[in-house]
Amino acid sequence: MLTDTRPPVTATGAEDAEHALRAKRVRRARRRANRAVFLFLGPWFFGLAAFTAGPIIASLYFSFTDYNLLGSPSWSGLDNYAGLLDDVHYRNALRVTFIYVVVSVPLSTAAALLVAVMLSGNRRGIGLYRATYYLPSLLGGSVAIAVLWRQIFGADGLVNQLLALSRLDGLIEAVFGVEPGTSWIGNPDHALNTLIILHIWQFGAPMVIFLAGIKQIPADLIESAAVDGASRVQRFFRITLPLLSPLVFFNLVLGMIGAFKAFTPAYVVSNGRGGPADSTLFYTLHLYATAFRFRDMGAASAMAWIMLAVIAIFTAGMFLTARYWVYYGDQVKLR
Amino acid sequence: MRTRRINRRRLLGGAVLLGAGTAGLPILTGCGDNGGGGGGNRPLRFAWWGNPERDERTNNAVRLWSDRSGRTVNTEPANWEDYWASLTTQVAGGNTPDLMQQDYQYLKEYVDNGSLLALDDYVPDPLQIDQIPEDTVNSGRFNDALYAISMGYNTFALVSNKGVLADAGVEQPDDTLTWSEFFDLAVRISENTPDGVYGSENAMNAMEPFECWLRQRGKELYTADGRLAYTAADVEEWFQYWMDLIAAGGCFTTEQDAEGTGALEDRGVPTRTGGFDFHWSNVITAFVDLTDDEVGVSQYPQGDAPNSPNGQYYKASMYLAVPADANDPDAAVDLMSALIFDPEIAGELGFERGIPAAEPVRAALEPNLSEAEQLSLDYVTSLEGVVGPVPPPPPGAHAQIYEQFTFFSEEAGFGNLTVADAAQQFFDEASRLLEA
Repeated sequence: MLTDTRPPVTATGAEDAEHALRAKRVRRARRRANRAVFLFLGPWFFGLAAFTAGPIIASLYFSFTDYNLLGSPSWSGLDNYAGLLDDVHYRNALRVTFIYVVVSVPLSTAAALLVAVMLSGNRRGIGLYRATYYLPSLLGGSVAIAVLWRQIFGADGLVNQLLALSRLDGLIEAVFGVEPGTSWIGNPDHALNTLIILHIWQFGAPMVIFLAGIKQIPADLIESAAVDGASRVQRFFRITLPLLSPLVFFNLVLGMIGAFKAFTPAYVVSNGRGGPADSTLFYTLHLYATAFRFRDMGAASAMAWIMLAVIAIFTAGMFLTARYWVYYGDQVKLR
Repeated sequence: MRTRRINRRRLLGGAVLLGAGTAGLPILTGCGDNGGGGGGNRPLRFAWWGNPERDERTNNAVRLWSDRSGRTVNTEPANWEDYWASLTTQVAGGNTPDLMQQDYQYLKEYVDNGSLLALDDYVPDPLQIDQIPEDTVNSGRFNDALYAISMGYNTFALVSNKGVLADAGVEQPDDTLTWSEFFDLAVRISENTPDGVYGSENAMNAMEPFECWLRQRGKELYTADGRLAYTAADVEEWFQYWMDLIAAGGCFTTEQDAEGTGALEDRGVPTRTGGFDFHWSNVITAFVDLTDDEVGVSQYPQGDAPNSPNGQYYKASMYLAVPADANDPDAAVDLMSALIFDPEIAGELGFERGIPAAEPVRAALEPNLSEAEQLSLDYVTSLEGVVGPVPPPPPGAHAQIYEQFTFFSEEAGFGNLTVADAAQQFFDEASRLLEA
């Protein structure tokens, strides 16, 4: 930034005055430009303050109040936070959400990477395959797919019919102890698994990112490794994966944040109840029920802030581990 | 009828008034000989929860009122769940609809929060409450002021699929059926019908039949001061009854029940997979429409103790209420009055919200009833004189307590908890919620 427009000390008086004048003009022009910047940014600042920052601060305040939406909030200190500890459903919601995040995020990232590697070649009609594999993540978040999931995993659903047709149901019973005709979504032991499968199925977005990453890997690296006799698997683990590790990290972090915030599938599959027996009670679902069904906006706001803290801690944790396994090309690895 | 300053208003033109901060300026209610014609009036907003049939009937009724009054009405139907979420948000934001449907469960809370308008100034004109049974009117009265009027009333109804019963060689029961007889009947139906057909819906997690069952024992869900009016032992006995019925194969399992969407058309009676279902009487007509077989109706099973009361009461099904900060309360009350007392307009609603509360409306409908409506009317009126008193309004935590009831019944049903533990934990949790 150009802040010092004063002339050198050796200048004459006339030059001095001229310089001062010019400097003044420049400053005024700059101030005018600044004003225009703020004018154009104004609506955005207003939107940020009124629709983002305002509600966020309000929810922090509400989290310390007893507020049922109808009356006005009354200060209750830390009661909401303490009350959550007593709430068995809150603990269930935490457990269900942690399981969901810990299981589904690595699996869906792995699925995305696997499919991306398979689709990275240049075969005929590869575009069509890529589009097809991307399709589920366009549909996956929608209510229609969650409804479809109910049908597929119901007692008379597609899964059970296929199992019966292929006579695999007996095998499943022998191995997993699941009786034929079990409703996968009606049974608390399996309901969460169907939602995890639904999540894994939506690997499209990370897949596209991985595909782009694979295309960036210099072909000569892979070629020379192949010439040196590295197998496909070795090439993947020794070259592709390390070079993709920043993207793996990126997808894991985004996936984790998204999974913590997942709402629609559980809401639709369980009719908004998180049932059976809290087995699909996602954190956000419990938060929504607390806010709007039980009209305890104070406790719901407290839950939202705890969620923020949890996500922040998890994200920070991942960044801390990143230095041990994420490889950026410009770094020299010291062992 | 309130027709104030109509000529001046016309002179000025509605549009001018619209912008002029309507607070101080009385806007006519748009009824009567002047023909209304408030083209420039702000449209009224009317919100209710419902289902496609109710929405259509209500829209038709509102259209009739609009034609008559010249006022536009924007209708805002929603399902139960979304309705309450959006209504509370609208109340909080000062954006409440001019006329809202209310429920006994929430009414007291809205009154206590000062969100509703006292209607006493509008009695008896246009609100002719002497056309409604006194008990029903009083259920909308709090602290000696009238805040809401019921559109109709219901009773508990045990709905049956007579085809399923006939397949099992079982007679449609009458109103003397007891819970233990019901148990045997349900098991017999399951045994004498093909696999996948059950004697009864699983009502273990439903608080309505639990309430009826409690009342048969001289208890209630809540005391007048909002505490639990039953014990953990009652809950345990109720859970155990259904656990036994599940084990005997007489009703759907917990898993089957959990898989269901709860939508009427998916339930046992319409799909011919269940003999009996526990419901409110206003859904009788819907059940008849959805079911190919003949539908039977009787009271919930009776208490096994001799001379126990039947547990029934006339539940005011849906109320109409006007917000305290209504822009145009006169017009809102006029629409409300038409929907409850006007035989033509209220007649459009039929029996969908229960038996119409106003006697003249019911009388006007009677000659042209469908078979289903006749069934419904006959059943509900057959209880006249034998229903018990209306229970006190449930406390604000009821919705959350109901959810605990469902949760702990599932915990027992899936074997995660013993019946005794589930009942005790539910009871503790419900008590805690009421103290909070």
